[in-house]
Amino acid sequence: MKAKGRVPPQLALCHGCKQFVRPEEYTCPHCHDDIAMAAVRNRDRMERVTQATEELQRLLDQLGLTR
Amino acid sequence: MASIDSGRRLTEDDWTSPFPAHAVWEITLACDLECNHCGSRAKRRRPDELSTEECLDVVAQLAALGCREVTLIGGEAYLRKDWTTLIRAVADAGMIPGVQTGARNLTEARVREAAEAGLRVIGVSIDGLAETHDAIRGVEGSFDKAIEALETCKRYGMELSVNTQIHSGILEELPALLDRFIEIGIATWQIQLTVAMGRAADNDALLVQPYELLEIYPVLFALWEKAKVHGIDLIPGNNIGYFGPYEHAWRGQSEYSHFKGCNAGLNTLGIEADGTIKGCPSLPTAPYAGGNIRDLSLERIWNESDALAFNRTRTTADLWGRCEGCYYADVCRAGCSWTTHTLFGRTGNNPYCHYRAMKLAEEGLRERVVKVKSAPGVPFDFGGFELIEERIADGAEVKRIAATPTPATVGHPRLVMLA
Repeated sequence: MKAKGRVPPQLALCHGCKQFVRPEEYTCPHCHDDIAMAAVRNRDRMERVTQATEELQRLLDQLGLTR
Repeated sequence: MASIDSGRRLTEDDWTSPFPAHAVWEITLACDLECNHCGSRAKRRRPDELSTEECLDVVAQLAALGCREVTLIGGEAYLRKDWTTLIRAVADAGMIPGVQTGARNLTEARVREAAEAGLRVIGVSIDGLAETHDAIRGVEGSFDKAIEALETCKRYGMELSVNTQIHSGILEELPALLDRFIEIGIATWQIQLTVAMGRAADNDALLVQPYELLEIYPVLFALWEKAKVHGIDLIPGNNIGYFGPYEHAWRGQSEYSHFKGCNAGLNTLGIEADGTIKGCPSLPTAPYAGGNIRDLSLERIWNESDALAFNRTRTTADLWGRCEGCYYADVCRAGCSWTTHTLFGRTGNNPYCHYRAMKLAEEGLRERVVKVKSAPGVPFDFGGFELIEERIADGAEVKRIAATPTPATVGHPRLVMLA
């Protein structure tokens, strides 16, 4: 009879050090950062990156440098 | 036919109800190269390779089991006269046909025949720039032939993939290789560490040492970033890893993608040219042959063979050494079974781990492997290695581990024809 497999554990990402952690962790065992706070900082950083990219694109369009 | 992407993506059901989603099939052991890292020691065809009729029956059985993609390998797949018959049969059965090749004699005529038969994905093995590649492949000019084959396959509309082994002499050549692949326009670049099997066990100087991962992986990650900009997906093979700071990027497309353990016998199947069935094409034959297609149906071998089910039933209890008690133990389960078994004669302890190398370095330690037993000289064989833990500062040996194969992990009973 075929043995059933197992669904491998799904880990979460610590955005403080970009290493995987167990989902039940509050503090990263690798960098000791607060995992939730690191996620918030990462989200803010990504928003700033998106805004900067959009602004850069707008300026390129304005200067007629868009391909 | 399934799309290439949907055929390769695994769902939760795929994990809990194992089936051979991807089969890798050595259709002949005949080869026109003489690679000094070849795990199967390919050169001459096996004396008892499956006939065309038997192969077509295998195709039908794979399709019946739900297989999505079949990659034909060798030896050199195109040295079988019926290789395009098999490609066409795979495509007609609704599966994605692929071919992995060294491409020394993959002429335009052969590419055209394969394309007409339905070949959509071609993987070419390239293990360095010309001089290095030719030396490893044992044939002068084989690098140029491989590049030429990629360009020909591109003209015939195939998705191009390159497979590269990370051996001891390649690191400095990887950036120039990527530049070449960008020019050609490949879609994927799969990398894997050279493993101590077959001729690579004979030529063990080709193996990188576990501690060298700390130098190698930052280079690979930089290449991954550059490749991404140019639309090339650099894919780490199953023995690249594990975890560490690059895992989130190169293992997949989201922050939820990470290594989830050896896939042999879960969603992967290996077939040798004589009909021997294994859970992964790379695994050594002797301990992992689950049966032969000439004796039993593929369904019975897949469902009933202990040699194929080892990943379905194993737990963290078989982990040993530094893998035992690792933070990622139940996720990773010591990574690639092929890599570990060929070193130590058993699975469960994998020094080729980024996370482990980093942790060791924090302790001022590093690991290297030393060959202590030669391989016997048959296809898919392996020798024996010891694992040495030493101080980085002065090289003083701290610990030496000689693995002893355990009955639980070696010599799974092979299924044979029952009454």
